[in-house]
Amino acid sequence: MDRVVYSISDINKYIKHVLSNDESLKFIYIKGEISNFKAAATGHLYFSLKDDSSLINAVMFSSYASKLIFEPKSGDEVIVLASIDVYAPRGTYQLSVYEMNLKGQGSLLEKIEKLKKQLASEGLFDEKRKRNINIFPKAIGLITAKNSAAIKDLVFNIKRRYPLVTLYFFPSSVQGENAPKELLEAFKKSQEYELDTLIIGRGGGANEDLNAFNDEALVRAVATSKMPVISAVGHEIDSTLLDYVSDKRASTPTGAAELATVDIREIEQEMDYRLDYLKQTLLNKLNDLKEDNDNYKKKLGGILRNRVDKYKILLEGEKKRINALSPLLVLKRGYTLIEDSEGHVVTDINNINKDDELVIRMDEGKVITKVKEVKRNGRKD
Amino acid sequence: MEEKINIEKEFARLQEIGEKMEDKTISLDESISLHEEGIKIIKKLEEALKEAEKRIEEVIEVK
Repeated sequence: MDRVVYSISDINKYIKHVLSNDESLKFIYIKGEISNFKAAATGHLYFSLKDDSSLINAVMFSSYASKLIFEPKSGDEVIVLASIDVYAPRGTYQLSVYEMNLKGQGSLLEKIEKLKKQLASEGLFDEKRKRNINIFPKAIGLITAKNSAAIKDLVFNIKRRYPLVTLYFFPSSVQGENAPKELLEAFKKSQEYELDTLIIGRGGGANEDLNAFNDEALVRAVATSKMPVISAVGHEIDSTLLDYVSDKRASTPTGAAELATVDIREIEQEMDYRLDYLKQTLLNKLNDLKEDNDNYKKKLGGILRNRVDKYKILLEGEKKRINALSPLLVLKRGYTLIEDSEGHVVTDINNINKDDELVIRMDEGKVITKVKEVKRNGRKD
Repeated sequence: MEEKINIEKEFARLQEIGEKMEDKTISLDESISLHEEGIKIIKKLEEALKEAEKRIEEVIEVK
């Protein structure tokens, strides 16, 4: 009889094929207890999930593990979202885990979701409720933990950007059982002050407990804040309910400082630019005016000189005319004029008598004479 | 000495003199007088124009 004999590879490949194509083994929720938990340096998590009688190995790769909101350890009762993964060469299968929550935490998330919907329906998250931040504040209130990196960051960055502001610190725990109550008290205190802005938050990372900022009483109270609130709950991905109800949100304390104030150095630089521009504009205008002035002076000078020149020409003309018409021209030719003692020219010989004193005008001067004898043409006196 | 003569007025008078002298009917006497006056005025005007030129140069030069 002929038997079909398979290789190991064939078998393993087949098993992988079967399991990989089974939809009911993909993206399913499984509950179990963590054992042999190991977090590798790569960020990948290796553990087993077991119940009373059996276990399966599991891995949660770092890209999924980074989204965990708690730190898993052996003994934790968890619910995971996972798929079956087959590693054919070894003939093994494992759970590839995408999400993991502590048993009981699932319900917490649900509760928060429900509260979120409720508050949203009441309009507490509406865009139009959100106020603008005065970036030239006189006073800012800070609610966060004492001695924390958050308060240090806030104070440092706010003062660096806008030294003129007065900061009021209302310390409070930001995690643990008492946090919601302390936050609420700190908030109530802050309302007694004349603040431009209130910053509520904490530093954080992916695995910090942000639940205090989901507290219903706190969120409802913040909705009634007299002044705008910036939530700075240090979480890049998830949002807390405080984030929704606040007027603005930042993911870090530094971010909050930037939302809350103007950067004074930018203002100074802007002013420098404007002053320079103004100075330049004025200088340019001054130069233009100077140039205009010079041009006008030259023009004026030109006009005046033209007039003077015109007069000179006309004067020359008149001079020539007068000289040409002048009877004294004849003197140059050797002729003379006879004037009486009163300076009048004598043209009529009948007006000349013996012994009269006459002046003979020559070109070069005058001759004073006395008449000896008058000889009229054609008659003797 | 600054003699503030009115250049326009003097010039007008000069032209008047010139025109009068062209009139053949005036007496010899008068034409001589006019001639003398004319020469006087011409001297005055020449002085005044020279002065004016100087003043224009001064104003331009100052800046």
